[in-house]
Amino acid sequence: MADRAVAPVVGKALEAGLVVLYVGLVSAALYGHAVPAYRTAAGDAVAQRTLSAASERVQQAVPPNATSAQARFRVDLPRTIRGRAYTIRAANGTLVLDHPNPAVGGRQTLALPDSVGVVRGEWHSYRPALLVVSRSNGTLVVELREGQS
Amino acid sequence: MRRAQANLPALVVALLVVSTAIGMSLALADGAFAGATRSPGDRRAAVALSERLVSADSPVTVRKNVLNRTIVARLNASSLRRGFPVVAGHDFSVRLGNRTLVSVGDSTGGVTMRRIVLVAQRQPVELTPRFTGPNATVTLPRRSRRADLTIHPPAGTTVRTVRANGRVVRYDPAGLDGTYRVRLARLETTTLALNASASLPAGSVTVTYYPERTTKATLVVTVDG
Repeated sequence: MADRAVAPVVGKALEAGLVVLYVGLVSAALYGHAVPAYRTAAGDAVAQRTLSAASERVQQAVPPNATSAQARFRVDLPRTIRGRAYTIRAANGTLVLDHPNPAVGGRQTLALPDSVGVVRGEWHSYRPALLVVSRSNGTLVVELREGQS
Repeated sequence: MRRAQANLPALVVALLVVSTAIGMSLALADGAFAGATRSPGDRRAAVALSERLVSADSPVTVRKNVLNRTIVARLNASSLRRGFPVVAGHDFSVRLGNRTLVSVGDSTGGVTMRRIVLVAQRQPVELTPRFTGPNATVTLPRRSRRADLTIHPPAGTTVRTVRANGRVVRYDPAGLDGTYRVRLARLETTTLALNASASLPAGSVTVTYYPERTTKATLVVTVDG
């Protein structure tokens, strides 16, 4: 008789345990692997687009090499990629996107006319980005700067 | 004991259904990611290469958007990579009309940019004018950046001055005899005037000029990976 009273209790406990175990496993798999992987993939795609857009802005900003060539452009950058701040910097004729996550980021070679001597400076995603082109010693200097206008 | 656990199989089936639903939604998310891929890097490289190729300071153009046929025909992969480092590390191809100028790697997919350009070619045209009287003028039928004048006046006749639209381009008080290259204005029709001491017979002056012939073509730039 005692057995008959215990049976439903054991059964419910078994079911509940199974469900809890299952939910735990699925949550661990999703939040431990699948969701971060998707966030990184999406973040990398956004980073590629941001970097391409920034490179295009730099390329389009270059004026003809006249005696007084000057240009100033504001550039819109997303504040965060994959939830973190990042920087875009010019290095050796390329633009580099540096992100705390090693799987996010990239490097793109700029296509600029010969009149451009050097591209330098960097942008931080949380600060207003400004692109300044000036002329010194007969060549154009493109600077990635921080500022409003 | 056994009779009481009859709904355990039902629970297992329910969990299996939930697992299948999760798997399917992950597969859908993968598909959405793949469908949203636009390869912005390739697009930017294709746009940049095509822009730089047709820009005024490009090594292959005569002026903005006008390609020099001779130089374009000599393009190859290494000269393109050197002149346009933006495509370094990419598979790319450059076509002009139906002709493939350069193809590096496999660029069957990728992003393609098309631009309508003019292709210019200069060919020499020879003109032997006939003159009446000592002040000989000849108008070139097409505009040309330069002209080669061959002057062989008959004995006893001297040609001292050659003018292009009134501007003196050659002068020799002892008399011109030989072949002379003169630079001309590209933007206006040129009339050459020779100042001779006597009437020049036909064949004593030959003008070779280089008119530009342009044809339209589509420049197709593909960049892949």
